[in-house]
Amino acid sequence: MDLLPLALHIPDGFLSAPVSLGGWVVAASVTWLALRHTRNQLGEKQAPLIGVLAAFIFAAQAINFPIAGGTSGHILGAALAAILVGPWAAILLMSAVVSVQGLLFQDGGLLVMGCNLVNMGAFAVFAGYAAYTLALKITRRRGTAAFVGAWLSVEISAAATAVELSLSGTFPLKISLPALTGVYALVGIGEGLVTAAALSLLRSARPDVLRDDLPLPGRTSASLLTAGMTGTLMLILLAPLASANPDGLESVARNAGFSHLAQAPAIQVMSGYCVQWLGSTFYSVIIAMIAGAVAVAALVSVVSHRRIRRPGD
Amino acid sequence: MGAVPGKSPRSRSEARRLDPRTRLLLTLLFILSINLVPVSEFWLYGVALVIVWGSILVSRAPLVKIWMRTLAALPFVMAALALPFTTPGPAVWTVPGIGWQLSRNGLELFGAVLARFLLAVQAAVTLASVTPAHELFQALGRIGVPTALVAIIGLMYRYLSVLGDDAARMLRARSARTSRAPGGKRPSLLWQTRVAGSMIGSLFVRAVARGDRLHMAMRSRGFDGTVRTLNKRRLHWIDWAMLSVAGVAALWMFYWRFI
Amino acid sequence: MVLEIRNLSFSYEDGLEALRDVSLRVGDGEKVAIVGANGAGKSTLLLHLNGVLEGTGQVFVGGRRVQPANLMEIRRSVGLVFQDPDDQLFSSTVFEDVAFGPLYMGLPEEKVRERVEAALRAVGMQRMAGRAPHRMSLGEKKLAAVATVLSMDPRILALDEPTSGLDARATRRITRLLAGLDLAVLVATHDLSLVREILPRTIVMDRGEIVADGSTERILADRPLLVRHGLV
Repeated sequence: MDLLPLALHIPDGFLSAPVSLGGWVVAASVTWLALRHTRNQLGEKQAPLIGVLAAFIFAAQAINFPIAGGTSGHILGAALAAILVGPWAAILLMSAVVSVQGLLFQDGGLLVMGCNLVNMGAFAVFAGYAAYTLALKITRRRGTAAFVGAWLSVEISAAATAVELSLSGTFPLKISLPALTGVYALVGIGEGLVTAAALSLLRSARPDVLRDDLPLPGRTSASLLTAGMTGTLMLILLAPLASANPDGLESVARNAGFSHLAQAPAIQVMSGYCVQWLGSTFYSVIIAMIAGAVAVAALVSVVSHRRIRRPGD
Repeated sequence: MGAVPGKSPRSRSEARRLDPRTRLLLTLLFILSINLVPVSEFWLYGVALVIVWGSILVSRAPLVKIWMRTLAALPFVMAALALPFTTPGPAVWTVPGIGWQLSRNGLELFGAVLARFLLAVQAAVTLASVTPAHELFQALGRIGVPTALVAIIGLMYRYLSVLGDDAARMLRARSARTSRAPGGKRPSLLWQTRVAGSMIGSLFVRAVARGDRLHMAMRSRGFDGTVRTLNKRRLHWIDWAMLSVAGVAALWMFYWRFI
Repeated sequence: MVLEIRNLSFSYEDGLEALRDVSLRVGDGEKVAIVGANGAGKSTLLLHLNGVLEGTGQVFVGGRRVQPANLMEIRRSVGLVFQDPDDQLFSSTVFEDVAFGPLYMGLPEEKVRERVEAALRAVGMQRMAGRAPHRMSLGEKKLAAVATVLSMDPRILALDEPTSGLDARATRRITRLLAGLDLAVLVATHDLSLVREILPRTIVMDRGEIVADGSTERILADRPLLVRHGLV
């Protein structure tokens, strides 16, 4: 039973048409950028290397590990890919994997594939990579950094999924966000441990394939894009706080004409007990997100600083 | 996936078949259209159901496979089950004891999500089971997906079986070594993830070596980084006709919903 | 003279010296075995024939020097068949794989189709054009891999371990195919019965060097030589 990790592959029907199309626009632009950057990095080796490595991520997702209670988990692999081959190539690996999962195996919908590509590709890869780089700078421990990067990649993916579900008017954010980020905070532990273990094996057995001492071209622009995407997510998540309306996102969606479904104030949704409980989780998640935003901002400044010092990058 | 390409001769039934591009675009337009159906217009889902089941019959897609795949996707229905409780609207029923309210709008939304989901899954399974994978990939390239990405996807699909075999071998070796006596101590999560991580690490080493050799094999046969293909099949009038109908339907749904 | 190698040396990035001052000549239509223990440099040598690897020294194919300026020319004259056919069959159907070389030679579609048909007929796989490589047996894959380079109409065929892992029947098919080819054939192999049967000349390599080069009959009869270089 691999129910949990599958839940990040949103099926058709759960997202509205405008949100799905928006996802396609973002996914297409990021993938196009990734194709251009990896083409510059790898030249004619682009297709063979990226193709085989995408198959690697696909196969790595088949390597399961038992968790409690007879269930088993597997990794998403976005952070691992980003750490091993750099963020741009990782975007392509995830694009290939997610699109084939949807197209041939109905693992995730077709119309919503743009959003799935953004969640498991752009968001997971850039967030994972940014967190890994930053944590590596601070702790100087590759294993710890890999754990942090992998955990955050899954968490950001889940948060983005929650935001899309709520923009679509399917689930209110204050239900979907704590539910998804809560579950994936646990799933992310597995992701983090496996990613760290994979890196530690490579480090002892084949250090030659780990080349993070050689900065890949396009790293700085990748970090900027990371900041941009994470920032966007933060803004959306912070909107409810700013408007002092706990249901801000739904009202944004309603005003924008996205959703005619979110019609009544959320207060009516559930009994007061539930709202209170969810509400407090909601705000603590928001606070965690702010911490994330600060971390990303710090990372961007570090990277840009480094670039000035070492023009050879 | 589906029929082995080129196995059947180019017979009448082959000629009658829609171009893979058409099938792909029709599926996308169909899923887009059902996503635009207003929640109150449930009869349209009936129309959509007739279309899906009609195309399943016409394309002679394997029914068993379609239902197996549909059922495999059912866990999401469990997520959708929360909808009647989480959607604001007039309450029709309150769960005794905990006080959760079942809303009318929530029930409608649940029905809509379920209908859109089932229709879309069946359309997607039909597409995948009547179109061989490599034809689908080619179709992607010919409807505007960058050819470099299509080449990557094609190579990934090809090497999935090779690396998948490697992964399967590792999993078998692991289960051969970790079978424990009844009542024996259960290995910790930390240990389990270490094992899985090591397997993924060695898989990566194999993949990188495979990528190098593949690159050499491609270069040896003159590969220069560009993507070249044969097989420029033209769209038949029936393709254009079907696409026009589906396009108009989607536009109409869009107009109805938003304008 | 279809192939001439002069003083070729090569080291891998990690410092491993794979070829040391290798020189050899192969005539038109000649069938040559390259034997040697694992790591003797056989595969590395084959990869130099069409410039996939570049060492110091000179390689000439059909009188042309292997260098970046005429690599495309060289690559259509040297058909390299890798040990693992999964490296060579990277397309979704056998047809596409066999068409790959001719397509990148810039041939028009009609010509490409003719070449594919001829190559598949040569290996006896006309009816498998539409098959997906991942659903074929190892023997079928190895034959298809040969077809992918035959379609380029090469002057030399260089094969790395063409019979390794094959059962007796598949080995027979490959052996018969190679014996019947009307072009120069270089085979890097451990399979001494294949050498004895169809390759009249044998080159023995050890640690990157050529240690013997002569008629197969003479070399395979020299038991001390074979033992010294880890062949029996």
